Amino acid sequence: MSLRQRMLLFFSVVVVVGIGMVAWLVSLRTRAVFEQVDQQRSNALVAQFRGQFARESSDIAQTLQYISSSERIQRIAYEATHGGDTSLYVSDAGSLAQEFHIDVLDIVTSDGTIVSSASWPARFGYHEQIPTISAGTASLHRQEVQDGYILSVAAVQQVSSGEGSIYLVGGRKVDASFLQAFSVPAGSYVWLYRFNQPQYTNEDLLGENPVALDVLRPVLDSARAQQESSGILQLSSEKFDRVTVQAIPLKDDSGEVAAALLVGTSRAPLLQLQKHIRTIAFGIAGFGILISIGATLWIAAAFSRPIEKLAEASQQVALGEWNAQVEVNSSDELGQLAESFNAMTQQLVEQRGKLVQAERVAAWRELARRLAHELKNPLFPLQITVENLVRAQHLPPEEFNEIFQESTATLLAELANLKAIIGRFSDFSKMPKPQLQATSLNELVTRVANLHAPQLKNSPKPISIQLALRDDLPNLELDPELIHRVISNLVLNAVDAMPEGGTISIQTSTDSDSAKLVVSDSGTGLTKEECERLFTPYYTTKQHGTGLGLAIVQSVISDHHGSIMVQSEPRRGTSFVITLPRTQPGSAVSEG
Amino acid sequence: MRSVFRLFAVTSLSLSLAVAGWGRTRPHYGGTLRIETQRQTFDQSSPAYPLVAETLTGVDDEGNAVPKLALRWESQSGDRRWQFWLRPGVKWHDGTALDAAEVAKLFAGRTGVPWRTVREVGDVLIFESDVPMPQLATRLALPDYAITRVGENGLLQGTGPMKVTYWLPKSQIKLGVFENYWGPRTFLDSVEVSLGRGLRDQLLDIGIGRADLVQVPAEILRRSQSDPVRISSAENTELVAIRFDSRVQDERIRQGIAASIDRSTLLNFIFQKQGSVAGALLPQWLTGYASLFPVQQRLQQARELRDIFNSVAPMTIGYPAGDGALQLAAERIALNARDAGFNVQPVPLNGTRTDMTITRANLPSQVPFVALVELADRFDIDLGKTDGDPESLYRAENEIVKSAQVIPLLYLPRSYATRDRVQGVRVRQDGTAPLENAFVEDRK
Repeated sequence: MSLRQRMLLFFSVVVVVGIGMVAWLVSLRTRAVFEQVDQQRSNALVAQFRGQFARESSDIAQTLQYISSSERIQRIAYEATHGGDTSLYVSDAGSLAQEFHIDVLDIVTSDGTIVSSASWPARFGYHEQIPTISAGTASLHRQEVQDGYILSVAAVQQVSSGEGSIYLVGGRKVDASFLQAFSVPAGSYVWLYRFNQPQYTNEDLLGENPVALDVLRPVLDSARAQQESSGILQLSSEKFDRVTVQAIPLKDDSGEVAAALLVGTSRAPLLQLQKHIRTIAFGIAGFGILISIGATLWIAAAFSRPIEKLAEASQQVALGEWNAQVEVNSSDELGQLAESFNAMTQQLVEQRGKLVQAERVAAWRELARRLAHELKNPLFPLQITVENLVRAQHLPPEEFNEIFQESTATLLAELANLKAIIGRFSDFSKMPKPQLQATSLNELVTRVANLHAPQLKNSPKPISIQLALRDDLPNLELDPELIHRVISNLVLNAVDAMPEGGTISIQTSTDSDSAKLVVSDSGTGLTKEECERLFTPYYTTKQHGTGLGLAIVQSVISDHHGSIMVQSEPRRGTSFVITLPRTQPGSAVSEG
Repeated sequence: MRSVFRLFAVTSLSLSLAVAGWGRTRPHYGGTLRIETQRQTFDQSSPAYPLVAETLTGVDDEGNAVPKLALRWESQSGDRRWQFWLRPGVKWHDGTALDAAEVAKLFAGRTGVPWRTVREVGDVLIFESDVPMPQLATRLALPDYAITRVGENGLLQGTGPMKVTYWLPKSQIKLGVFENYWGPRTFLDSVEVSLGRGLRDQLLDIGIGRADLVQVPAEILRRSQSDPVRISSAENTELVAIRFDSRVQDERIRQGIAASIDRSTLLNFIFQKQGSVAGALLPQWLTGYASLFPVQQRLQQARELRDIFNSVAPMTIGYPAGDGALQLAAERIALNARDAGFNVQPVPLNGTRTDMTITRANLPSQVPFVALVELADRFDIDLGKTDGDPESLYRAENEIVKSAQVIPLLYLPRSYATRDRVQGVRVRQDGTAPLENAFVEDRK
């Protein structure tokens, strides 16, 4: 990642995180305030419900008192308590309830026998438990009727007649009209759920706002378990149709939870405000990112671009373009840095020229030294032989002839030696161009191994050759003679490196682009310096030798567009790694 | 002398009172009789209907067929062929003569009748069937077989002593004297029938003198005794029964429901002890064998029948909308059934099919065979083979009750409340109240 990208990223992150933090804090605080307001609204609605319930209770208790003093009830009380016929009054509860505008009215004898029932007229003669509700008060009361249960705000009134008494159980149904008396502010909801059945049904849910029962289930479950609870409920698929609902369990006269008051407050305003805050935050963040980009571009123009140019120039130098230069546009620290860089590359170019020159001189010197050394060896016998001939001219002819014969033989031998030396140098200078043909590298390796193995195995210090050749190695475009020479050279070098015997390993391998040949020995190894100079012409670590062997090897490999490298450590042997392309540039040889 | 004077005085007073009394009960011509009814249609259930529509025959108090539009009749081929001689000179309310061919056509177009064909030969109507048609002459006295048609003015036409003069659908119908009636003129000049009046309104109206005659259901009869009206009743002439729908196929379920019902409570509380519990379709006074049918609640038996089944699908019992007593009875029956383990829900009849229906049915005739045949028709039950003798009637009725296709519950009285000014209305044993001799004392 470039410096400019990092700067852009940094500035963007700083802007986004900063704005995000502010937006989050504002949102958090807003939510807290809203929740506080919601709670106040809920409390007000709950208080309103309790007030409504208290008024309803008082009204019911008073109504029952009126009914109990009516002549009809007095008559029924008299008949019921004096063993009279109560069949005449089967329908009276219904008509009385209608007359006094109540929904529930049961006329019950002291033993619980229903004389007349308004809510379930057919139930006369059956028994019911008289609710234990204190006189003058009312309570939620759940009563079984023909098609289920009804929940009412009910009171009980005792009607005495002589020594006996009957009871009136009356009340008003807790139904939709009960909630209609509520003054519910906009954005607030009130539901009342009646636990009339084990399962949840829509019929038992009261409230003007439609809501799916499954949505309310969690809070209803809590309320049913006599726990107040609250939750945030999604009323519909509309994103903002969410409500904070508080569920308050309501117990009936038997102490069981008969209903749950659900007070809800819409979260739409809060969600809309939060969305608004988010929108603003996103806007500011987007704007901030744009500013960051601008600032980054400006800073890049001022700082990072010169640095990038310096980096590019450095990369060029690393790739060998030592004369890379950087444009100097300022006089500040970056300008000075650029100038220093330019000066440095200038010096590098100059030093390189000098180095090349020095290397050339050194090479010529080395060549002269080698040539002198090589030539000096045969010249000395030549000189001795010639001097012997000069001294032998005074000897008798028979001795002279013998010496002459010996001297001429020596002269011819040494001259031949000189010729051979000159021939080797000539060969190096005139390395032939490779004649490429599809060749099996494995075959070449095998041939070389077979050539040398018997001799090495039978030597006083035996050397073994181990081959690890990749079977699927394809044919390569090679000059078989030159590569054979390369491998032989490396094998002979390895033999020289193991005067005490050892093992020569030859491996071949391949990948998608190239083939690899590794020739390793278990000899004395090379130092780091020796490795560095190993391929220099005329350099040798051996007592005899021209120092051209590895130079020729490198030259041949180079002519095959390959590479050679050496890996070695003292006393751990040496490995020569040759990499050859699977196909030579500009030609197409089918793999076989 | 004093004794003579005293005798004269007493005699004079007695005569005066007798004359005055005779004067009070002597029929008067003229006046309007005001009838109110809950029904919204003017049909056979209205006491005024026979004033408009007549039948071929009538039935006297002993249950014998008597001539009306037919002067005489004759049964042939073992009751497979009946001939009725039409009364001559009878006219429709539009003045046209009653034609035997037209009457034959009217009868031939009817369904659910015992005869296969009806044809006329001169003034003789000939009813024929492949099977015997016992007591056809008595059956034809039923108001269902009244001879009526719809006139060009859209009003109901008959041959009775009164004709329809005004008709406001579902509201009111007025009858006036038909001058060309073949029989004697009615004492009344007119009859006004208010349709669709609520029971409460009817009782109120008759209480304050705005109505002269209303039918009083049994459930309020006890309370109405104290009202300033005259109540006339015919005991045990209205059957309350449950009819099962054909989809409740398993007899044991029907029997279970039947055994669970507490008829006494229905009678004593809902119908205020008016009438009697019924185990048979026909009342005891008519057949003499009705007491052989069980009427007690048999809850244990009901539970055992219920427990035969792993589960019984919830059932519905329909009741006529607006009939509070039957609604309450249906609810009580549902409660009884629940005690036995059945789930029965009462629902008002509004065209939807229900598993069972609670209904009232007037005793059609005071002739047992005719009454049973007509009730069987009414409940759509196959009566089986019966020739009208008491034993075969019992067997037929026993089959129906045993299979619980119909559960007879109660027999209630048919009662009429009349104002004091109305005279000449006599409720017959079969519950009808003919008005042909009715008159009002003061002309309004």
